[in-house]
Amino acid sequence: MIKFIDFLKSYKNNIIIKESNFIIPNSKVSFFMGPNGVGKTTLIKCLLGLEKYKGEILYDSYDIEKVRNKITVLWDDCPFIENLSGWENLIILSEKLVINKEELKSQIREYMDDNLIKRQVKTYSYGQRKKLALILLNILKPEIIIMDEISNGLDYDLMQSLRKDILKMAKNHTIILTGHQFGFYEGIIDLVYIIKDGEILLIEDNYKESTRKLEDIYENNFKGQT
Amino acid sequence: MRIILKDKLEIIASEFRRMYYSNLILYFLLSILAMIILIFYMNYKEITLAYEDYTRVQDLYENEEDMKEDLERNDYNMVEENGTYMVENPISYYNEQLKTLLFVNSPDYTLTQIFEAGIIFFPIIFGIFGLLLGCADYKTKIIKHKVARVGRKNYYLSKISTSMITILFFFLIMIIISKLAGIIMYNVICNKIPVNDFSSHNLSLSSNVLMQFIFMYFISIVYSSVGMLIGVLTKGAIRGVILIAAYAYAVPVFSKFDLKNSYYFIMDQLCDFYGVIKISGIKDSSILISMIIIMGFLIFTNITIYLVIIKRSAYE
Repeated sequence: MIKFIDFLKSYKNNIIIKESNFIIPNSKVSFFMGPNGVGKTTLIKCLLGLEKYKGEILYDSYDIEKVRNKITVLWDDCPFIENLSGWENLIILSEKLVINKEELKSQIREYMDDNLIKRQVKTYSYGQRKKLALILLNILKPEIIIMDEISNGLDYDLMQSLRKDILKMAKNHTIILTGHQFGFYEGIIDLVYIIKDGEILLIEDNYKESTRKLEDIYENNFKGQT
Repeated sequence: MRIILKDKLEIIASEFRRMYYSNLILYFLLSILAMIILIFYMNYKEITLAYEDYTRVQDLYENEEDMKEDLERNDYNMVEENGTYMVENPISYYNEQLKTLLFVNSPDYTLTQIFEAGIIFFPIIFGIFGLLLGCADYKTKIIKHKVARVGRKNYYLSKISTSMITILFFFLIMIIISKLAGIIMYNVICNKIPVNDFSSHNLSLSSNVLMQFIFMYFISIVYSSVGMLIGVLTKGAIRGVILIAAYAYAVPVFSKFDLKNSYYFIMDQLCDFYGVIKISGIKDSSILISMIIIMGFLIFTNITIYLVIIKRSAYE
């Protein structure tokens, strides 16, 4: 589990997230909700140790530096090396000393055909970039997956397939999600946190059993703020 | 411990693959190859011209009765007249010149010649190499993936290690190619010029090739660090290339505390510059001061790169 102990994030005198104590359980899908600018991406940066903060964030009692290679983030913009092919990007970013090309090919086949993977990433659509990021995720095999606004720009088919992937991965991965397209997240998330007035609050600890809609939770908490 | 080392090697392997697939290794090997070809071509031109001059003067001496006896002389004088230098007994002068040039073109001098050429080419080659290594991840925004996966400290270390290993690789390739090219070139010259007639030179080397190699490798790392610093600061290649080229070729040496002067000064102590590459305008300094300045630059650039990577948001 990821434990936040007396966690506080501020920029100079501006407090972004007030002192908070909460946990993100293992092998569950946790969803962080809040309007733009509330501190969701800042929270991710703190989780990754890329921003300074007060308090502690422990991964099963370990510091981030001990578990860093067990975490992967799927960024909203899916950064890749634009002038190289998808295949070359995967080889570069796979962080392996020896590449098993056959294994790599079989992982690619789930999402892309041979022609697409050989094309330069700069020719990819938004959805194709997301697919490439998902292949990379399968290669890196992280234990903790953070997906920042993952559903943005996806077509219906890809959304459905990504939902299935997340549900499949949730069995043995800790998944942290942020986003605004609530329809996408319905049915796949276990816990709902909101970031409201600088506080991180656990609203639902078993959302799959809940009758509330994410949209309603958002409306109730942030109406008039966006 | 083994796992940590494996992780580090995996990060470095990733950097190498990036350079390989971006053709960066190929482009820099081609630059080094172009430098070697240029130097050999210039030396070849120089020696063939000198030999042509020699044979022309020799013909003149043999055809003029009163000059024939000078053919046996080994001395010559340089006399200045109204700002112009005149050579008395030019046959001996050309003879000496040919002996020097033959030594320069001999396999014994090949590596020294390449390192001497490095004084002009290495700052720009390895400066740009460091620059591209430094700015690439910022440009593609892939830095936010990398720092999340490996951490900022490891990210910095991977860049520096990759730079050091790649430059060493470039040096080894450069040595192999220039050694082979040197042997081939010398054989070509032997077929054109009767080398045995000009073999008795009294030239010596100021230092051994190993010292020259170590210093040039070190200075290449310094320039690569300077380039990397510009790369992480500007996040782009074009401005950096202009800055490095301007510093390498347009900015003069200001004082003995200048990095360029320190580099030139030590090179002047280590190499003899018998070949086509000459250096001038060096301000008097000492090995100690020069080394302190170069080391200072290396430490300063690396601390700054580290701080920029640590402090600056990867999301900008």
